[in-house]
Amino acid sequence: MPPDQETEAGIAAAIVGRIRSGDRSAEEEMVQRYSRGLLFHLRRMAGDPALSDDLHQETFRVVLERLRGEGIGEPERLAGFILRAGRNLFLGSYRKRERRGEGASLDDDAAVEASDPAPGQLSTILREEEIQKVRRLIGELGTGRDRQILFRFYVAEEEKERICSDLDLSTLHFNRVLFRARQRFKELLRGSG
Amino acid sequence: MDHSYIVENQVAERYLLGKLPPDEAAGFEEHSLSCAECLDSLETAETLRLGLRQVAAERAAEVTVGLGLLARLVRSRYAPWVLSLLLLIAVLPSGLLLRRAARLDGELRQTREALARESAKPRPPEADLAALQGRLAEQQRQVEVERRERDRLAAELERAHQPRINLPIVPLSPVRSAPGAEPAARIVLSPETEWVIFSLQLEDSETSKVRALLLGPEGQVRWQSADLRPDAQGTLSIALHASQLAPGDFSIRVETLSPRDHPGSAVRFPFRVSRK
Repeated sequence: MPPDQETEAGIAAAIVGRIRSGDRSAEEEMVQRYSRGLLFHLRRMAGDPALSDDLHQETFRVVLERLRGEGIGEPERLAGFILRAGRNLFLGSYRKRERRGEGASLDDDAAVEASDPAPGQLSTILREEEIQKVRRLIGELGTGRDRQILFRFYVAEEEKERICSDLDLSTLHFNRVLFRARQRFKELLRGSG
Repeated sequence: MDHSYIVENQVAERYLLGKLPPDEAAGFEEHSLSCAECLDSLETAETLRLGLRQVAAERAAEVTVGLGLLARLVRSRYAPWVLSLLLLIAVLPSGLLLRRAARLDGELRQTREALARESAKPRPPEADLAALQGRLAEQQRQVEVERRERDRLAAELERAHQPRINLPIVPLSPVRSAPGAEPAARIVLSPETEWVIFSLQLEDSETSKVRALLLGPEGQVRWQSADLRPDAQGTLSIALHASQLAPGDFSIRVETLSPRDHPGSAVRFPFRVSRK
């Protein structure tokens, strides 16, 4: 069950309190709770799985130090604090690379948004498997129109309203096509298709 | 966060595509950090997005490779054969199109010729046209005259069918005097008088069949009718239209007819007509 805002705020505040009081199990609980999400966003920011893993570890180290020490201003917004810490670390690493002449010169926002760089060897292999599944999904789509919807929305990044207008679709139909494609792709990724 | 809203509004996809407003993006990002369902959506959508981009890039590359291969072939020693083949492929449909165009050209030419023949046919000269128009106008005028005459006659007939009130009845007795003597009977017709009824008293009440003649001032027959039969009292009534009676001396001659219609005895009924 997804957490609602109050539950998340309550859980987060409790974790912060327990870590502050030296509860080591709360630290593990925090890492377990936010690890996957943080890694996803770091990978999107950095684009490099190895760098993302490093940033992931570094973020939790920094956050734990802070929680064990002075604490944070809004304990119920622990997720936001972790995310900001991860972003700051990424920006710090980016600036270091820039100083070494390894990266293009971008401002902070652009650096966070510029997030699909060349993948490493491992991610290339993973991508190839995933691409096979994308091809299969495309082949399974009922009509050319459904394929067009996917490409125009995900690749051409056209607005939903414009696609609906061009293809004479209702919003409901558009949502249904996207939902079914996503669900089917999820099944394929899990290997159940 | 409301998950049905997130799903229905493609919040995960819009976040990935950078289409969410900054506040909503920050809220969703923070929420997604601990929400397994939203992370699933994000990961699936992101993989799908990258996969679709890759496939689209591959398709674009296939086209480029095809063009590159063509360029290599053109540069190779097989170039003449390749070019000949390409030329054949290019020319074949063109030839078919040219043939079709030629056929359509022929049809167009035939149509134009037919139109030209139609245009070349002699047309009525202006004079003929004017004459035709004149004849038409004359016919229209005649039709109009006939229409008026028909209307007039219809009105007259209508009038004739109306009851007549106070018609003048003129009783006349036979006169044996020689023609030329002044008539004793005198009739004065007013302008309104249309009909005058003459009541002729015949001497022989058993006369079965007579002929009557209206004789004008010069003795000319103005009207006559045979096969007339007097009534049981021996009276023969004749209605004459006033237009037949111009001022002057008139007479009505009544002749008895034998069974074989041979004229027998005759009597005269003279009268003088005058106008008011």
